[in-house]
Amino acid sequence: MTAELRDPSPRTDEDVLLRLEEVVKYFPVTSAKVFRGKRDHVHAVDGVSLDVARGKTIALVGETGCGKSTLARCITRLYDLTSGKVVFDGEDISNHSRRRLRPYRRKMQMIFQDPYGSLNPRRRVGSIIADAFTIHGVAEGEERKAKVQELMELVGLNPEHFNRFPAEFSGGQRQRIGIARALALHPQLVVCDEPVSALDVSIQAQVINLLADLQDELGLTYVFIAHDLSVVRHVSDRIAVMYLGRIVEIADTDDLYARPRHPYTNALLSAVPVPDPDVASRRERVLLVGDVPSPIHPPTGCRFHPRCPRAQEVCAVEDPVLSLQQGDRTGHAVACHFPLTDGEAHA
Amino acid sequence: MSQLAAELLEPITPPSGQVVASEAIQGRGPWQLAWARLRRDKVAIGSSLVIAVIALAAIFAPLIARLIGHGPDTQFQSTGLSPQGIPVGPSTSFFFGTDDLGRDVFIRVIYGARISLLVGVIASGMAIIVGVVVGLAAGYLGRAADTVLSRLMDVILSLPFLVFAIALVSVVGPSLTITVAVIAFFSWASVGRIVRGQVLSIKEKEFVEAARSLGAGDLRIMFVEILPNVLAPTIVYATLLIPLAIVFEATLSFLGIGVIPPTPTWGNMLSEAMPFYRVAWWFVAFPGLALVVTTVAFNLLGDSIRDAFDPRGSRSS
Amino acid sequence: MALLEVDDLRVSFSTPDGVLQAVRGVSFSVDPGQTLGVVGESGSGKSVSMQAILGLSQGARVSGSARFEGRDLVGMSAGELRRVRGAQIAMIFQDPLSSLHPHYRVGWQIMEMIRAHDKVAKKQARRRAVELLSLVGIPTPEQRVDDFPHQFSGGMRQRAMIAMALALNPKLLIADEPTTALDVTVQAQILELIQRLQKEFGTAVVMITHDLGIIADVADKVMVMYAGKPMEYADKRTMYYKAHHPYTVGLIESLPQQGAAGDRLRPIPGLPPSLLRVPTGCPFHPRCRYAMDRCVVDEPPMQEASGGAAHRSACWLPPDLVGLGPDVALRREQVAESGRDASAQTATVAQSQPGRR
Repeated sequence: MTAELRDPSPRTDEDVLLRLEEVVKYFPVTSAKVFRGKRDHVHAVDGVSLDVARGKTIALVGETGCGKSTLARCITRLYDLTSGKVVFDGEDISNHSRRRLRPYRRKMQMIFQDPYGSLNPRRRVGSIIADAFTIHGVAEGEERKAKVQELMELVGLNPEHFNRFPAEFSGGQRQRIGIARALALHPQLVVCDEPVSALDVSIQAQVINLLADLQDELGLTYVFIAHDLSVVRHVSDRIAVMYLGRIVEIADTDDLYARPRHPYTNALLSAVPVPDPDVASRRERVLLVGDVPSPIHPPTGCRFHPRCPRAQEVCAVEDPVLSLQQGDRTGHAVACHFPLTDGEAHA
Repeated sequence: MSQLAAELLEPITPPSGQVVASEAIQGRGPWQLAWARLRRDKVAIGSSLVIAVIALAAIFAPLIARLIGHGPDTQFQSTGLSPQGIPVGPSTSFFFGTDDLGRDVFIRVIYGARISLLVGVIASGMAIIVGVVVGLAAGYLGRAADTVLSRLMDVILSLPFLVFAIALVSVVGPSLTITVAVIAFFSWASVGRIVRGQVLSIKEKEFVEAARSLGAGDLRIMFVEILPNVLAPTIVYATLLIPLAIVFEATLSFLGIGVIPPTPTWGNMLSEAMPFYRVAWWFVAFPGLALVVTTVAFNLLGDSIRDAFDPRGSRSS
Repeated sequence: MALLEVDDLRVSFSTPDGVLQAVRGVSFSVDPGQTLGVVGESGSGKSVSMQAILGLSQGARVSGSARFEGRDLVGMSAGELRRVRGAQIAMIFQDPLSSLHPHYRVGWQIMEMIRAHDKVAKKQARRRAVELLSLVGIPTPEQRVDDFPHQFSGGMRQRAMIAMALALNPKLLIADEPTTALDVTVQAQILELIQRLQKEFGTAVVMITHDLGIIADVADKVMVMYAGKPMEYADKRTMYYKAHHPYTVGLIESLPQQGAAGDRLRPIPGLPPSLLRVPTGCPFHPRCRYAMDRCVVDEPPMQEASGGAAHRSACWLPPDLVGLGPDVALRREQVAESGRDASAQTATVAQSQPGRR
């Protein structure tokens, strides 16, 4: 089963920058039942395999508890893996010590969700952005300051404001500061953990465009995390839909929107409110029942089966394998016993 | 200010172009903002003035002694005591009256301030340093380090302060150093607990993760990222710890296990005055008053500093 | 007759940094059974105006009028307002966890709500609580009625809040970002629920949100707010297809569009203004790509626009310039061009990009 769960879309024509193999991350649950002997675990990420091509953007999409943020922190090795491999640029870094990880810290960076929590409120913006230089001993004094100001300019901030504190900036500007910090050492890979979901609509578009511009300019590779499918359409080349620690469907962006195969993807797509009254009144929503189950005791068989409108007996017993559809050439893989056909997807 | 207005204020900062240039470029940080609020606070100004006067008096005590012509240990057998050997009351030659040995209470209270402030500042300073380091380590490192250090703090906080102090002094004998050491030893644990609690919540913030993903080490995260964020509550606590230490010192000296006579402290003066409170009220009143005024001033200042750092909580609501 | 008629509502707070004008003249009306969508970004005053109507904005100075069934809520005594709140106007909030008391059972809180306004026996109130929970789609309500809020998931808590809000059959439900904290699939469930209940009970709804998608789904009429003022007011289809105000147009255009993968989005440049220092003239002019000279000095009033019946917009552009798309944009640009003095033009362009200088 291990081998089958690999991203079944190997792209020999593309240069893989990041490869995840069977990544598993469990968190122990601290509960009152200490004397029971067996400890419960949150199955945050449960066997995820993925290839990320250099210079491209892959989006990880899913709701609360699907493990997307945990996966992001496994990639950047902020967390140790329970098992599996993270291969960056050909080297397996999943068991690297902190010291051995240091050179990789320069090559992969992270942009965080919360524009308020991700910047230290007691430090000046200039010194926050310069952190990367300080830690890795790059540039000193005036040169460092010049580099910081260059970065601020790059992300659309006034370089004269390097002496200000984060509280003096709005949410969108703070997110730009976070981007500047992440780009300081010219990373190859940037993991964006819901970078715009805390921002106002008119500002979201500004930040998304900035990220796209920077990708073109600097040849960045993005892993872009989002909780719904509305934002990622513009930024990603490929999308992986996650549910309870697993990838349930992965496809090229246009393909996923045009031909969703997994009932969960379909429900996610139909749940996104469309800002067009006529479309909104015409389309039929696929309403799921209930909430996402606890990742401590995930359902047996297919994890989506208790909420799935298409579930049958086999779904509760047998765990479907993420695999390519017959005759598929675009690398559209789905983990479902009864995937949707072309006509069945929502409008 | 209402909560709502505060929320409204927060996410919106004026667009960068519209602020006066000089002000805009030199950012007003949380420290500057707190300072600005503090300067507008009348209670803070009043209590700082009181503390300043007491501190100045303490520092210039020898000068004052020279001005009025006698020191704290000078005994006035004839003018300072009534024929029956009773202390004399306040007069132009003795502002606060005299004590049972015919010494000037005024200059003794001023010399007492030296000890009180010295012990207060040094003991709480030591307690803060130890408490911050231990609290940071316990909160940030977690696991075994946290368990050991937290239990240690629990043990210290549950030790009976007086019994311990009396036992210690009966072995090594009373002195100023021992007094400071005992007070610091019993105060750092509460600082440590406060800091640990703060660190526990701050280390979960995304900016700590951001630092780690940049490759920052534990020491850098503890002292560059986390420490500045626990400094504000620590400073508040320090201003509240100083009067506590002053009272501790007074208590020890009162019981005769702190600073020993003839060195005057407010505590041992009160102790000496006890048999005379019926005949010589000034002997009790002035050192007592000095103690109360000092502690109240520090406490008020501490409250004001807390408000300055966190204008939304506290008094208004 | 309108159920709620708000006229020139103004709300301000005094802060140490000056007077904060959160709402600066809002007028609208809600008919029975109708849904009004109020859209705006943070700081637009959309939530504050509703809270002020219900007397929930502490420390605020409120003026203007808000007639609910003919009675003015502004200036009503606290006791009277309390009787209106809950019984006739109910409110649900973004964060259901903080609106439910953590120490009391969910059912008990619903019962208290009922008994605060209606003198009924405990047993009866409990039966009603169970009924309500099942109405909002909580499974096994007889058991869940005795649960504490933390035993509910986010979606279930919001359902419980709705149950509580509906306990007394209110005529108006004010929903302040009711789904912002929820996952999309759960959001869809909650929106469906609100619509179903609205149909069943004929409740009027004011839906406050930043999400134009939600509005497109549920609203009848829409009010777009910016910097404490309404910018545009129209029925839903007019708002989406024949918008007049450049802010509304900008909001709609900045959204990720269907079938446009890979393209750049079209954001509104700049930042919303501080409510302590609202720009002169039209509050949107520093970010508006069609800003003319008069926009900097003259504040445009709400006036008729030709998108449809009762379409009003606060913009100096000609009332017939409505809709999205490049053709209208070009015509707007031409009008704006002629409304600009050559010398002032450079200034406006520079001002429209304050964040990027």
